[in-house]
Amino acid sequence: MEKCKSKIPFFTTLGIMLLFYLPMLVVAVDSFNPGRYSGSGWNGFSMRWYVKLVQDQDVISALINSLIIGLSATATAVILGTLAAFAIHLYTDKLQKVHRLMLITLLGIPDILMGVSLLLFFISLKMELGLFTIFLAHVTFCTSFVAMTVLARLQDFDFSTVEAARDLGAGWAIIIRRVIIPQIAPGIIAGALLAFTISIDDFVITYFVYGPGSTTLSVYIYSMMKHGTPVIINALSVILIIVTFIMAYAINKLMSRKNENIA
Amino acid sequence: MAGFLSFENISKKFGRQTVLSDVSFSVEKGKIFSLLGPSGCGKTTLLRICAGLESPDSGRVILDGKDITDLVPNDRPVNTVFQNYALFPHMTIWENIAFGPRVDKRPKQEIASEVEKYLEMIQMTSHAYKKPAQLSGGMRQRVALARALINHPQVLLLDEPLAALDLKLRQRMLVELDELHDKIGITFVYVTHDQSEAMSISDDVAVMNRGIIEQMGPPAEIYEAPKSSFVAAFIGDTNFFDGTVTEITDNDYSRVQLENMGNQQMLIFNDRRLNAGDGVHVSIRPEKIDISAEPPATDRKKNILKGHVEDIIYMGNSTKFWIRVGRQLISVQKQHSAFLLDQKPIRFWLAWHADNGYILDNYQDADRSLLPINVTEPQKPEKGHKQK
Ligand SMILES: Nc1ncnc2c1ncn2[C@@H]1O[C@H](COP(=O)(O)OP(=O)(O)O)[C@@H](O)[C@H]1O
Ligand SMILES: [Mg+2]
Repeated sequence: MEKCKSKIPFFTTLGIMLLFYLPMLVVAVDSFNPGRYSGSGWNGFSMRWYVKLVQDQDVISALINSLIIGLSATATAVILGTLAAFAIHLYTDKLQKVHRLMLITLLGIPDILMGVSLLLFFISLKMELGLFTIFLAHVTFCTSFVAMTVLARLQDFDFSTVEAARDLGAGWAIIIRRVIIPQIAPGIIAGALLAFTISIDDFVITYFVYGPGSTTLSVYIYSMMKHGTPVIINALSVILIIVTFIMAYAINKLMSRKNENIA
Repeated sequence: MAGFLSFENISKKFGRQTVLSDVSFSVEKGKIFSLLGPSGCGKTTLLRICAGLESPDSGRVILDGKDITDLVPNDRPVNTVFQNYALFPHMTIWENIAFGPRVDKRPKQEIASEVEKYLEMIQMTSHAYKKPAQLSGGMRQRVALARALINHPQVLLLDEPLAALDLKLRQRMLVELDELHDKIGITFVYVTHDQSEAMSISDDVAVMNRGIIEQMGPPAEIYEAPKSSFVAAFIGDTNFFDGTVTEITDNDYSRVQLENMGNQQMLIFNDRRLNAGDGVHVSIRPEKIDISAEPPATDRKKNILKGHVEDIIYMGNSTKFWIRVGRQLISVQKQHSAFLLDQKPIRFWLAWHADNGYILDNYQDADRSLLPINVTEPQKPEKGHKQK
């Protein structure tokens, strides 16, 4: 095939890079600027804000909350999402078609709607807002992400390998551990990374359902913006951006790896 | 006849669809038994029932005197070579072959030496650490074989093991499979939709159609003495004639008045005690009919017809003639017939022995559509020409 010689792709890419990443670049540069206020000029390179960041007790506890939520919601979502993906893939009846649609819809519903409805739901159940309600809220969307990535992986999965394993004398425990999981692992891991990243990043839904003592990193950043001390946010943002980049790279790598049985 | 592996009155439905109805057959120990039939006739389902991957609605599977119908796959001394091989894509060839013994928890050392042995048997030692995706179709097929055989099954089930390979490789693998069978001597149940595969490799063949076995027996018997129009048409090529019995002659021959062919009468072997007046359907293979430009010598048991040439197709190893007799088009296939092409006669005499016509027990008009139609697509039309 003839390669396109047009300059348009180059400028599109450049535009996207500038639009998306210029603000982040500004934040990143600023994070090494020891001046107290952004826009006060370059005062030389310093790690001051990073040091301040790791010494800030509130940041640390918000980070711990975020990690607890991220890890527990991801772990739960991995199990639920994988099971959901299998149900949708194996059974093509009406129920599973609806199931699939519901999972996809969940990804598209505006966060603010999810937040409001979850909040009303928790209140009507008289649940105390806190880590547990955030966890439940995060499980909902994390499950959708895991189910989608596993489902994509299952498209390539050859179920006759399961039958071959049975034929060769394997019981279900061995089949799940040695035949099914290794083949869909990239989908599960990619889904887990995606779910974890989105859980850590989520602000809107969390903002509705968090309670006293359960401030997460994103909620904390928001309150810092509102109540002074915005400079250490720069440092925090840079760290978050780097982590997100690494995650995105890993997810991309995992999802593009094809099943080896496609000759 | 109680064989080594017996299927007794197996029936199976998927939802409303009957896939197997009352199938019974048995396989002798150490033989290659083929299930031959068109796609969708239930061959795979029958194999899966034998492997324990599917359970029949009714009927029993007996192996070596033991009822294995309700055993889970792990407890059956039976292994399968799957249609697409179903190799584990994430494992190396070595790990694929070692899967069974590992599940069996055999000692590590023993597993290693067994795997080496089977790798050697399939001549794949140098590919031991490759993944299935890196192998050719033929190699994958051999790995699937080794992976099944390393478990020392009493019966090996093969589901269209050569279907994914190209023609040349298929022929070579067929020979290899046959040699392998001679070497290890276990019972093979071989599923295929390819009649030439089934004919060449099997000791016995069961011809299946829509969930029933139409006929069972050695390949030669199936080919030479088809009992139904399906078997006659599905295996090889044939001519069907419709007629009415007019007279039972001595020695079990009957005289049959043919429709579509004016007043022509045929003498046909009849071991079925037909009566005059019965409507019958007769099958005669194209290569059983002699063709000549001169009137042939007569014989009491020889049927002789005169017809016009409709088409002649030269196919290299043989020549196919389409001869019209009345309203019936008869296909005749002959070797060493190039001389007939040179003469370009318009009329031919056809002759065949009464023993070569078979009265079918079971005839369906629909089975005519199974006949190969070579008129429009000659394989090697070097000298093919049309005459009217
Ligand atoms: N699990 C199943 N569910 C529903 N129908 C099936 C299933 N397996 C096979 N069939 C149907 O049973 C029939 C026979 O299938 P199969 O045994 O695979 O035929 P063959 O191997 O001779 O091509 C086909 O019509 C197929 O669609
Ligand atoms: Mg099949």
